[in-house]
Amino acid sequence: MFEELLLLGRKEESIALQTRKKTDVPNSMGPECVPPTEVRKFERLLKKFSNWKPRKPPTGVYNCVGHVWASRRTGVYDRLDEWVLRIRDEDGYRVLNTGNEYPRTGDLVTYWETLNPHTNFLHIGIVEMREGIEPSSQRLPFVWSKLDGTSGEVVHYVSDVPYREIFGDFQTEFWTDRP
Amino acid sequence: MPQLEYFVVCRDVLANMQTDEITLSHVLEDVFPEAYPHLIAKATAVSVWNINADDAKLDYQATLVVKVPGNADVQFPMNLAKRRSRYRAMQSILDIPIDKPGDIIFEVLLNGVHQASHTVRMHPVDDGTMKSGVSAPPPKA
Amino acid sequence: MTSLLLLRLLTEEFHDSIGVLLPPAALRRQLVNSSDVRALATGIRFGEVTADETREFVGMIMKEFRPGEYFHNNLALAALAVAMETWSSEFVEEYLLDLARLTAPELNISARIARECIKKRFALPKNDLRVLHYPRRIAPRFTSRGMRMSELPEEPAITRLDFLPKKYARSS
Repeated sequence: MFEELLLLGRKEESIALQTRKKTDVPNSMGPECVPPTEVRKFERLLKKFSNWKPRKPPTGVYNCVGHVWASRRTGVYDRLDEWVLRIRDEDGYRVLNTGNEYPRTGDLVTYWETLNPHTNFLHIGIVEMREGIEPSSQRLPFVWSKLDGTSGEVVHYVSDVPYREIFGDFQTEFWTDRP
Repeated sequence: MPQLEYFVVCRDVLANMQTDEITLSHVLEDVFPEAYPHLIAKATAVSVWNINADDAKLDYQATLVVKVPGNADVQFPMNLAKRRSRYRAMQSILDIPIDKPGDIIFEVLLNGVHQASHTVRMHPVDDGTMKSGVSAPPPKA
Repeated sequence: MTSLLLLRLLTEEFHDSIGVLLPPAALRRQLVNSSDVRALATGIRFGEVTADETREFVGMIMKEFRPGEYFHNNLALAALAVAMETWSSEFVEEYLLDLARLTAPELNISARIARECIKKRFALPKNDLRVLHYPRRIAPRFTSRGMRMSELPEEPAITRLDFLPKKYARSS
C-alpha cells in the first residue's frame, strides 16, 4: 500500500531549531498550500466560534508550537508532552501563580488535558490582555492562536476553545519569561 | 527472552471481542471416563507470554508437547508474533485418544527449552472415588 | 461498492465532528471516541467492511494526492488507522506499517496517527488461536460413538482461526 508515495520519496523538511540551551528541537515544515476543503472547514469553525477574530487565512507550514516558538517557520509535532515542557524549562519560562499574579501581553498560555502531572498537551498561544467591557473592569486574557497545522490564525478569549466538548474538561497554565 | 505469564489447559476459551478479555472454561485437571479407550474431544492449551521491546524484533517459537501414556510425544509449534509486548498462544487439540488411565502431560517449550507443564490425570474406571473426592459408599451386605 | 462506513470519513460532517486537529496523541484518542470511527471499527470486526474494500477505498482517495499541497483526506486515513488498530490481521499490519513509514509532509497527520496506533498496538496482546487434530498415525482411536477414526474422511491437520468465518464476509 502507498507504494507510489514511497517511490516518490517525499520527505518532511525541517530547519535548525534549538532551545536556549542549544538542544535541537525536532520539527517539520508542512506544505504551505492548503486545499479548499480545509479553507471551508476553517470558515465553518469561524461561524461556530463566532467570537473568534481571524488574523490570517489557513496555512500549513507551522502549528501552534511553531507559531509561538519558531516564528511561524516550522511546526513541532512529535512527543509534544515532553518537548513543550523541555522548551519551557530550557528557554527560561516559569509558571505563573494565577493566585497572586496576572498574565500580561506576551506571556504564553498552554492547554492540557490534565496538569500535575502534565498530560496530553493540546495547544499553546500568545496572551494579549484586553480591557473588559466596563472601563474599570479587570483586563481579560485573549490568545493569539494557530489552532492546528492547517488552520488560520485567530484571536480568541482564553476559554473560548473547542476542548471542553472533546474531552469534557481541560486545564490551562500561563507561562512567562518575566522575572 | 519472552517470559511465560501462565500456562493452563482447559476445555475451551472464550474471547470478548470488545474488551479482548479471555475466559478459560473448565480447566482440565481430573478426568473420570466411563470406559477406556476414551477420547478427549478438545483440550485447549493457553500460554501467555510477556515480551520486552528488545525481544519483540526477534523470532521465538513456543512449542506445545502433548505426552499421552503409551504414545509417542506430539509437538505443535507456534511462532510468537513480532512487534507485540504480549502474546496469547491458544492451541486447541482435537480428538486425543486415551487408551488407559495415567497422566497426560501438556508441556510448553520456548525455543526448545522447557517453560511449564500442566498435568491432566485420567482416572481408572470406577475406582471407588467419586468426583467430589468422597469415597463411594460400601456395597450393602 | 464502497461501504458507507468508509465513505462517511470523507464527509464534511465527519471532519466537523473532529474539528480542530489536535496533536497526534490527543487526536488519536479523539478518533477512538468518535462515533463514526467506532461504527467503522465494528463494521471491520464483523466483516461488513472487508480488507479488499478498504484497500480499494484507500487506492481511490490516494488518487487525489497532490505533491506540495496538504492532503485533504489525511483525516480519513488517520481514522481508518484508529478503527483498525486493535484488529489482528496481516492487512492491518500492512496498512499501519506502510502509513507510518511515510515521511511526505502532505501526510504528516495520518502518518503520525499511524505511529501512535502502532505504539498502542504494541501494548495489546496478540491472540493466536489454532485448532489442530491429534495425529491419527500415533494411535488408532475411536470416536465417542465408537466409530473407528480411520473410517472418517481425512481432515487438514491445522485449521487457523485468525480470520472471520465466511458467513460474515460481505457478499459482492
